[in-house]
Amino acid sequence: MVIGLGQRFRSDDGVGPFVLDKIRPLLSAQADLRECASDAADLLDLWDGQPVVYLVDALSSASGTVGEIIRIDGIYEKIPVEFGASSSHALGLAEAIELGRTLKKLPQRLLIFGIVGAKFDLGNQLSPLVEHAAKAVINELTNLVTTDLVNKEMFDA
Amino acid sequence: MTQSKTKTIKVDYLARVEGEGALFVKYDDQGVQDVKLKIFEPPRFFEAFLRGRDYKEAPDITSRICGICPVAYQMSAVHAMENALNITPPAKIRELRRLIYCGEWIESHILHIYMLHAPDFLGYESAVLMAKDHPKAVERGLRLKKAGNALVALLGGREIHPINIRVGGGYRAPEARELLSLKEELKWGRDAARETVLWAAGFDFPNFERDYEFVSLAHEHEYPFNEGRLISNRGLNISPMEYDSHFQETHVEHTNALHSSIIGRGAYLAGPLARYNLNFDKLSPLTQDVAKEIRFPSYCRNPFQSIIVRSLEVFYAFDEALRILENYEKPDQSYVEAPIKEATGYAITEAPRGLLYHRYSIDSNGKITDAKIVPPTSQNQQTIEDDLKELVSQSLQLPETELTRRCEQAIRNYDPCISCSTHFLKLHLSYASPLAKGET
Repeated sequence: MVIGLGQRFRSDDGVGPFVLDKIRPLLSAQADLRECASDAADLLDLWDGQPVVYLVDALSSASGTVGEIIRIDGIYEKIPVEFGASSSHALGLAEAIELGRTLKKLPQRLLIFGIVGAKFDLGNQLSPLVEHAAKAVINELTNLVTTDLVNKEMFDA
Repeated sequence: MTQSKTKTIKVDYLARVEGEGALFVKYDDQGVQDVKLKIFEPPRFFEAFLRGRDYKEAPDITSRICGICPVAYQMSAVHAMENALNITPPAKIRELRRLIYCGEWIESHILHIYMLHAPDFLGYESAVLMAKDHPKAVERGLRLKKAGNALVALLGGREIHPINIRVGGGYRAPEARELLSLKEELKWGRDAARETVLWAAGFDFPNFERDYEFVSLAHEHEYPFNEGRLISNRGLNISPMEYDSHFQETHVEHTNALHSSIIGRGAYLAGPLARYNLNFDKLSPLTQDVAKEIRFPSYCRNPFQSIIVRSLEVFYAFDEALRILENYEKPDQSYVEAPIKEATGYAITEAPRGLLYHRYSIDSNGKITDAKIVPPTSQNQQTIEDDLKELVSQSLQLPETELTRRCEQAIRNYDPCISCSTHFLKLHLSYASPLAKGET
């Protein structure tokens, strides 16, 4: 499963859905592609019991470099607070993972791609550096999903 | 004589509320000197950029004001446009609109009850920490919210910023079997909502009451969602068209959100407590039975008990949704139309947080020439500050940390949606003229 987390109309917060849009023509047959626009608590039902989940989200960080890609193992590593709520109505990703841990609703593997953004105001365009980083994540995800599929086929054979 | 020491409660960033706001309270042994609910969420200018857009775009544009109550904006927008164009959708479409509003009330109220407000009453900093000790309750809340989301998604096309709402009705009406596929989950939801009421009723509530002017819609036959007159417990009884003659908005220096008041009277309270107090007899019999089961009165002036009222409204929403589902007949046409004309239209609907007023003027080509939107959170701002003033006055003996916590809890009584409340700000620019410097 590949999840794009974020709001399409909040500029760089839309990088998750942007990645999803780009990989859909390539991977829709191999992976379950889901967009989560607001409440990270919705993730609990989406990813519960899934063997592998790749999640793409924007980061708002005063100390990070715009366009930096941060990869985190969501099961075993601590999620930085910069993975804040994509909607101020709802839970952020870090809280959703902790909630999932408490309620035992986590996937078996969770790899998070966080892309440090610059702008989170109203808008439907990504910053150039964020878009550049998104393309790198797209390539990496394509390789990962394809490799997972090959490994699964070998295991099932 | 000993001078009383002035103390300050300052919360730079309110937690567990939507949007960005801060709290400032200055008090001493004699009482409260100053209270400010500072909304620093930036203004968003929706009313300005609606001008020039087509009247049909109003529900889609205004829904972007909020991610948790987009249906409310769409309902107020379509009803105002239909008021302008003399469109009266048939009863079957009316029922679908009540049904999608049930979904929104459920998801919005449940998010607030379980994730934002219950932690206050149970002594937790967050819902995540609360879940460690109350996992079953939190799981119930998550499943309840999902049921509300499912209703909105089925009727609106998606959960956030639905795409199936339009002036005159909807782009597509569901088949009866599609609605009935939700029936079992809604029945579970109604039972779980009753458990939510019982759970909330067991919390400890501060003994706090004020003499509010409660304002809500009222309808002859039903608990109000989309239609009715605007009434209060102090004699107000007007149509939405008369709203501007009785209410005013003021820009207060310390906040980006306008303060609403009743002209000549002042602050008022909108939202679940107002609806409940003014319309208890219109709640379904089963909902009234649940209120009686917990010995909750039909009139409540304690804003801390709004969590119980929200829980009762969630029960009502499930009960009403089941009623509509079980009697649903697909409309022959999913929407109705009328000729465009130059006109002004008005509407008030009951968003989860309270009254949402829209007014639009359109020209003979259907282009919006003027728009006014008054969300519930800006309507309650003065009341929230007045509550804080009274609360601190009554609680001077509390340690500062406890008093701060109680003030934050008091703000959360209103489930404020700060992003909604900053949709508009008048911007005055003054330019220094180069000619004044002698330039040519």
